[in-house]
Amino acid sequence: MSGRILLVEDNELQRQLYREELEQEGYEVEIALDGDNALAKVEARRPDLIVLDIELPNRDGIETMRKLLQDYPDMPIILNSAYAHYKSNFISWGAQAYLIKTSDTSQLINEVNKVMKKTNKGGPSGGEAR
Amino acid sequence: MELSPTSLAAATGWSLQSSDLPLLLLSERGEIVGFSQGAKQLLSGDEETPQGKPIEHFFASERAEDLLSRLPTRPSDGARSLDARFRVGWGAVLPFRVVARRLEAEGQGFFLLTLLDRSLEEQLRKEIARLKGELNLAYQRVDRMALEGVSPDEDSPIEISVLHQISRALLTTIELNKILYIILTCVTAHPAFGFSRAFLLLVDEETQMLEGKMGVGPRSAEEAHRIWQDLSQANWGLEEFLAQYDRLYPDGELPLDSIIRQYRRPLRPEQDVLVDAVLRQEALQVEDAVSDPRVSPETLAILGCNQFVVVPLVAQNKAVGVVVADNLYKDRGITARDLRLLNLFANHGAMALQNAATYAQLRENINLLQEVQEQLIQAERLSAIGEMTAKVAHEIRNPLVTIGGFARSVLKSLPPESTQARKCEIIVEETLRLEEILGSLLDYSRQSELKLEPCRLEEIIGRACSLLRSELQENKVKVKRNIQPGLPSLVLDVHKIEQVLINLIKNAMESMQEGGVITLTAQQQGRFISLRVEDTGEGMSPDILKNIFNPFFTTKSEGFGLGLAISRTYVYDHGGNISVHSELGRGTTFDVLLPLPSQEDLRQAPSPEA
Repeated sequence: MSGRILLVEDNELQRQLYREELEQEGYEVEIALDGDNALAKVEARRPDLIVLDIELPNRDGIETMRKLLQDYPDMPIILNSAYAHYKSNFISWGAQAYLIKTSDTSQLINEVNKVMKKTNKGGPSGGEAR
Repeated sequence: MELSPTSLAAATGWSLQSSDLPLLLLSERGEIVGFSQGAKQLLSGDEETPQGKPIEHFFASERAEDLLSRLPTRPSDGARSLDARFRVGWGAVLPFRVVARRLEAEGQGFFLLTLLDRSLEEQLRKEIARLKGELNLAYQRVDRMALEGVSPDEDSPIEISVLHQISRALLTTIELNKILYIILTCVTAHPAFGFSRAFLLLVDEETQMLEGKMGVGPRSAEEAHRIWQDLSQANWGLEEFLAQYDRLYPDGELPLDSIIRQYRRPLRPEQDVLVDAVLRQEALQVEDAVSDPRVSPETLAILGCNQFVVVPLVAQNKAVGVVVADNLYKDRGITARDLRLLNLFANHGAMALQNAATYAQLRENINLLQEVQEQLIQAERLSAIGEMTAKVAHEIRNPLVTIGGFARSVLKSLPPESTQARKCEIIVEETLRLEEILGSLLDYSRQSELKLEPCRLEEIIGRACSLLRSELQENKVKVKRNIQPGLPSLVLDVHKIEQVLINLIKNAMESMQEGGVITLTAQQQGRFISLRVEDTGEGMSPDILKNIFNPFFTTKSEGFGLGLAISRTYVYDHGGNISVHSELGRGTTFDVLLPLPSQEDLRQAPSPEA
């Protein structure tokens, strides 16, 4: 599988975990540690998909997403947060999916694959249009 | 008699007008016939008076009949709580919890409404303190009247001291039965009075009947003789004698009660001498009951005595009952002095009765207020628990994700069915189980139900500013409003968003010890309405900034550090966002984004208010 993913995550261990899993799946993973950092990375090199935590220093995930979608309205974003309660609320902001963080990393991988496939940027069949 | 705040005061002994609580007195037709200062300020601002206006004048949604039909129909129904929306003085439409009770006075029914909202908590506390103070004053007043009620020119010093002694005794209790007993015992047992038996009859407000309640005195001439002897030998004072009450009558039943309880008559003229005394509010003396046309044959049969006096118990221009006293077992006639002393005494007795009623009413009001306060505290406690649970769950979920996640990735690299793989599987499964527990814990602790309704942000801003007006003035903080005209309306839980705004304004205020300016800016930004709260205060360091949305984080000496945490939860619940920017020495800016309603929101929310 191919495609570039920007992983925005301030927790070091989780960063490592998700990075490993995504790379094993064949994706190229870039890292941002906070909201401002994420905006800068997107501007420098536009990724195919962003996996975004909500609780972040220097501009939280929601604020970052809003800013990103202003500048890149079609940017696919998956929110991945330990906050379990706001799922339906944040989908309406324009995220492709809202995942509650879980040790079952296959959920994230499946969602990433799904979005990548849908947006025709990669995925198992190398870009099957919907 | 016309119903008025004065007559309510007369009926309840409690002044409506001076209350800071928003209280409304409605006639049965729903007209405002009385109001407290608090209600006037809330509903009409400072100029106009709500007096005489129909309640629907202030209604935002329902018609007056709808509210009136939900009010309690009898005083015994107690307090009923309903929700209603009112248009308040500054133009906003606000939901209130209305606590309604039915009262009756002057033969008319009316409704006392208390309008409650959350900002009232402080007021409730003050009101309870005020009511308690009023009660104390009332007692002091009675005490003073006891001293001043008798002119030294007319009565001997002994009589003054008797009255004072009795008044004191009356002040020792607010229990109705004890007061009645004290009244009657004083009349019969005290050497200053020349009576042998005394009966007490009270007016039943609801049925408008005069009813016999209690009787005190010997049952026979022999018993009378023995009592007088005991009394003189023991040389008891009034207090000692009264102290015998509980010992003599442990079940509260007095020997002569059954006699007088046979008496029950409607309060209509030409009935009977006892009823006349109530209606005319006048002491009446009967010299020869057998031939006196004012004494009905039934009354004569019940009392069984040819000479007696009837003295009304009058408090605040209202006769609440009568005392009937006779000289059945005494060998002398009733003198003018006896009658005068009894009359003076009856006034004190009436006031004690009135006080007992007032006290009962105050007690009930205080209980109601405390109940409301409890509910408020409980609500606050629940949201504190909710915030804490959400935070703890969040903190636990993060390491669980890493533990289980890495175990899963190790598992993939292990030969299947190996011992290590089995152990690794256990870690994976146990972690998942813990995650599930966290999920259900959150569902249990958080009740994020929103009461969505269409509303205008201007109104929420206006209301929050009004509620905080005096605090802002005290802290020399000015509020500048910068609201884009014609903002689209939102579908929100008005109370929650208002609470968010109040929290943000308070926070801003507290960061400006020397006073300053808070700028509130509201404008549309694409699919959102943004609300900015900007202060000119001391600002926050990055360390503090990082933590401000964490529950129980606070830099203040007061409070629990929940304000901003709850604010963020409320905004998140709405699918909105809240962010903060701050610079030390320059001030802090909070930005709240609230999503514009979707078509579905508009369909589901109740229709906009007229």
